[in-house]
Amino acid sequence: MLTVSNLRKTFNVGTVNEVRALRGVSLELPEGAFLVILGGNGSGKSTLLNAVAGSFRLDAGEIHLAGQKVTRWPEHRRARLIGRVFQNPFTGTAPTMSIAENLALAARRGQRRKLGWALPRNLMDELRDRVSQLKMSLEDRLDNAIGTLSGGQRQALTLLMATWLKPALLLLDEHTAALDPKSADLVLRVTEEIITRHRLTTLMVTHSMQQAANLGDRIVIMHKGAVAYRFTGADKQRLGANDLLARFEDLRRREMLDETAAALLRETYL
Amino acid sequence: MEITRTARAAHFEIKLKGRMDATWSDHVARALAECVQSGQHVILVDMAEVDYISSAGIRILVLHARQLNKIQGRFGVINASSSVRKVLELAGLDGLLLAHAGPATAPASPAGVSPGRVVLSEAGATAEVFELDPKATLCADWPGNSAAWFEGRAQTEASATVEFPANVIGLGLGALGSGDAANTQPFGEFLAAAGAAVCQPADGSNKPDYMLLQGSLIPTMKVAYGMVGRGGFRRLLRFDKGPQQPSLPLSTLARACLDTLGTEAAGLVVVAETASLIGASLQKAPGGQPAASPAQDIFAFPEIRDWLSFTAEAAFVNSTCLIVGFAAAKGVGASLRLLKPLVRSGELYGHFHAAAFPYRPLRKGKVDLAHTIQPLFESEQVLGLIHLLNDWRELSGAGESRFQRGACWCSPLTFQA
Repeated sequence: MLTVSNLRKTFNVGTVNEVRALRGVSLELPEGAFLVILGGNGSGKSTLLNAVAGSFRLDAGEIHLAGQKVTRWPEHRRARLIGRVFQNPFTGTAPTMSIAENLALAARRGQRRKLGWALPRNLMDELRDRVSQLKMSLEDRLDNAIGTLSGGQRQALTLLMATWLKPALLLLDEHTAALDPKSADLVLRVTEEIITRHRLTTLMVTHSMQQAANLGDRIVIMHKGAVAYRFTGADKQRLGANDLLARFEDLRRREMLDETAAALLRETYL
Repeated sequence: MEITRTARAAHFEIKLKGRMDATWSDHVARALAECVQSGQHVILVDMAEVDYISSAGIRILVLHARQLNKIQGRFGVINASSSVRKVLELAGLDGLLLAHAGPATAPASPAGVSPGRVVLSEAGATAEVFELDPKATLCADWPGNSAAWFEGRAQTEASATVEFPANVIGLGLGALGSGDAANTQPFGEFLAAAGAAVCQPADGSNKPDYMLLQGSLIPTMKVAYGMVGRGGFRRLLRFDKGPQQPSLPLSTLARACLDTLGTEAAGLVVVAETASLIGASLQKAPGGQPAASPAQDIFAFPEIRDWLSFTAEAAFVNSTCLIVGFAAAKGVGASLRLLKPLVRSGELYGHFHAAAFPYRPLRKGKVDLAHTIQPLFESEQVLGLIHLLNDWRELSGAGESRFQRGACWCSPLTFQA
């Protein structure tokens, strides 16, 4: 479904702020796969997600999505295939419009615009039905402005909007990081339900080991713009949050093993 | 709640004042744990001014009473207020928890044992020395072939099958199991002593596996290379860092073993309350290359990062460790396979592997090796296994593995002609 090969990106080339954000990242995601991307600050995990979404031009590499080469497609063109939820709960929805109006926009995404009732009765029924599946009692408040809702409720609705048309790929960019723990749990539950129900191919970026351990069927740990570890299948299933933490410790130790340590080991190890 | 700690002649006293509810019980538990970790095995809790105790509080008292009773220590509540006494009596725990007021006596050491005492370092570390078997030695042997493995040429068929019954100690690179390659784990660093073999497969998972001597099941390993000692132990050292220094380095302990045995080379097994470990573990097993392929250099930088994980700073802090190793003085050490300098001056050589467990206090006095090791495997998880190293680099070096106190069984090494 998604194939990403040898992505490279350096920001601020030739300046003191030069950052090699992606150093040859490759991923292969079959249809219905749920990949969790884990990494520390500055590991390149969000850059990778933005590269897939088309937020900037790549220095090198190719992206294939749903059988098409999308490497040179602009962001808005890829948006037809991609649903996306951001970290900030205020970015995904229009605050002064009602819940129903926001959802109606999502339902018509990518369709030709023509004059007509925004909320015909049959659409309202479908809206109510889908919103009730969130089990957040929002189906009775469809006329309320989205700006009056809590961050967790907004994020759950953003998720519903992003997946309304069953996108070829769902991108989740630390979408629970700005929420309080209780709301985050709620949104995660909704996330899992929606992804399972529609068998969505998903890329989720997180820095929560717990989320990474609990969600998804595969994990990639990124470090310094490259993939440090990959786990799928049974290897992924037996990973706990503590095992993931230990992998980060391994990465740190790797960094600390410098030339002087190498010389010491040569002399004293064996 | 107020927690006051007082060291008395024969025991340690913790005086509590206030309510021992769920919140304060955590603080009391921490105070008690610190006390045990500092080597106090006789603890009396003065509860004269405790007016309330909940089941959360009782749980903490019972846990510590059981822990200390198990290691021949002593734990009790003294001067219980009437309400505390009533609760403990109703719960049927007065027998376990209520101690009689008055001076506590430490449990007497078993009759017929009169340990000698040696000073280990200028900083005040000492050890009680128990003579176990004046004729005992460990006969050294080197199964497998280290050179071939580290050049990456050896095949699994080239490894040796070694049994580890109670009288064999060993360390090296190997895999648990004795059948075909398919029946064994990936190769990894191992240690074995008193019928327990622990191996951490070098597959990057850092999860040690183990086999214990049970009935007629004898732990067996395929050994790529290693060093074993067969025989018994001559002496037991019960070492303690002493009050003046925070911990005792491995090299001091190894040196003390050679000195007390009056030998140039010794095999030792240590079970220690550990301050920290420094060392490395293999992440990928060498070997398995076709014989014609070029030799690998696993120590080349930066490729070494794929092969070895080096702690580079204190790891397994405040754990209890099982350590197996061999130590030798300068001249002999340089001539023995697998022994490497333990200190920068090159005065001492050795090779040590350590398996770390969550902290667990050790019984004082003369203890049996198998009986000391068994409870570690029975009730704790093996946190990791590393090859101990001395990081003596200037400025950035993390130093040596260091210990609080523990037991060290040692014997002179003998060599087959």
